[in-house]
Amino acid sequence: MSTQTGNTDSTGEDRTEGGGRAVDDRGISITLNYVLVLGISATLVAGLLVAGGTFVEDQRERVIEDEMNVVGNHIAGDIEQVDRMVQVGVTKPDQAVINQTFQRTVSGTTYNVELESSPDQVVLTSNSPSVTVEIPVTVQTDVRESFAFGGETAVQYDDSADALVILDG
Amino acid sequence: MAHLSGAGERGDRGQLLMIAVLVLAAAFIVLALVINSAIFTENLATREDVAGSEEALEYRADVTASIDAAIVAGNEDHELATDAELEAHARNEISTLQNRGGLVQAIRGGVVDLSYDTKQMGDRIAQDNTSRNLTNDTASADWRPATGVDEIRNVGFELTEVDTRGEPFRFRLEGGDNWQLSVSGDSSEVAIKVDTPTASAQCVRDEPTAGDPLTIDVTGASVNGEPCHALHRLSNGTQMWLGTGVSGSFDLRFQNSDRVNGTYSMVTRGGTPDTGIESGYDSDEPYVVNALYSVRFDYSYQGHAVAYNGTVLSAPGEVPP
Repeated sequence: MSTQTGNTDSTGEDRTEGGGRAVDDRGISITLNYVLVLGISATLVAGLLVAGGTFVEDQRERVIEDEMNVVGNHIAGDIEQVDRMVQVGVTKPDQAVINQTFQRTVSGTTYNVELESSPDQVVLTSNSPSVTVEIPVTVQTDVRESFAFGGETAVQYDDSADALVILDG
Repeated sequence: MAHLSGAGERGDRGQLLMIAVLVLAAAFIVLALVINSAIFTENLATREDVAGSEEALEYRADVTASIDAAIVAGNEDHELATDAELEAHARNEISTLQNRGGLVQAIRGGVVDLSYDTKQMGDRIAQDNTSRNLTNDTASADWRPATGVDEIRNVGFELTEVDTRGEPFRFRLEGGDNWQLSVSGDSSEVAIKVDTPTASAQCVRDEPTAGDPLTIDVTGASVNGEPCHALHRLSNGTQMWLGTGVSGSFDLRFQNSDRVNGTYSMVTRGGTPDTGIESGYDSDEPYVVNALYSVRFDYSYQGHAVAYNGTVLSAPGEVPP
């Protein structure tokens, strides 16, 4: 059977000499506990936000790429169709134009369409974020490097240059 | 403990969570918009090409086929003897198509305009007597239907009898280099052999019998209605069609033409027909008549998103250059 020497509580701490310090220690412990909880919570929430934000941004870029891929393939189809119009006869046509209207933005960002030669391809570039998609085209008529804003595009045969061009519709 | 969980601290913690929730909610809203874009992309991917972009060429092909048929019919119509009559026939056909096709296309949403442009005249050299051999009027077996020819199209033979003994019947284009078709065979089969300056190939078919002639569509590359690679292109891509390897003006030549019976027809441009054939239609002997070699017409298709305007050449049965 133990004998208490002096004025001690059940935890065995000396309340006579260090009573005030003991209360402060407990306070510090709780404050530390609070700071730790708050810090860990903030870290977890921040991690969640960063991960969530990155996930959303990654998905957005993928959707922009997919969307421009689809739009680019439609434009490439128009270019090849105009090429067929040019090549079908023994003489070149006076006029061959296909206009097509697409959405002006892809997942909230505007985009540009470029027609490039060597190799012949359609290049779509979104502005923010910057995503680039290249769609090859197979044509027998020459291609003149040209540019249009995404949205309404016109693929046409330029008889003065004997080449295919893309313009704003 | 009470002072550590006061309103101030609870308020701060609440703000942190509230901000976090709002930011995450905004992220999910953006995600929903992105998913919406993805769904729209799938929808866009399944859409067809621009309305009218294919129709412009399809209707052009239909019109060309109709005018081709009209030219062939006009050339074979013995009532149409002069250049003016043949031209008027072609003009009428184009005008008819303009009226009829324009209405059809207007209903569909496009406007078609056709107009006659110009023509090239030529000669049609033919024989219609199925029981006669392919010699000329003076019975020459080796003769030249025309010399100095610039272009030839729509060449066809319908042979009712083929003598497979001895040297075969040959149809030749003779320029600097020669292109040759020969018809030879044994007791049961006939070989249609084509020789170009660089290659040779043949198609084999059953020998013609009474009521079942051997039909050789030289420019259509078929024998008895079945494709014949020797008259078109080999599997390795080598061109074999009529006139391959022959450049500039050329002569047409029949050799051993007394070994086959039947009919033939061809349309030439330029050159001089053989003096040993009838000038004007003759039902028994080989003959030469005026013919339309080709017609050019202006074709225009205007749709809401498609515009196509050009000159079309109609020369039925013409092989690629």
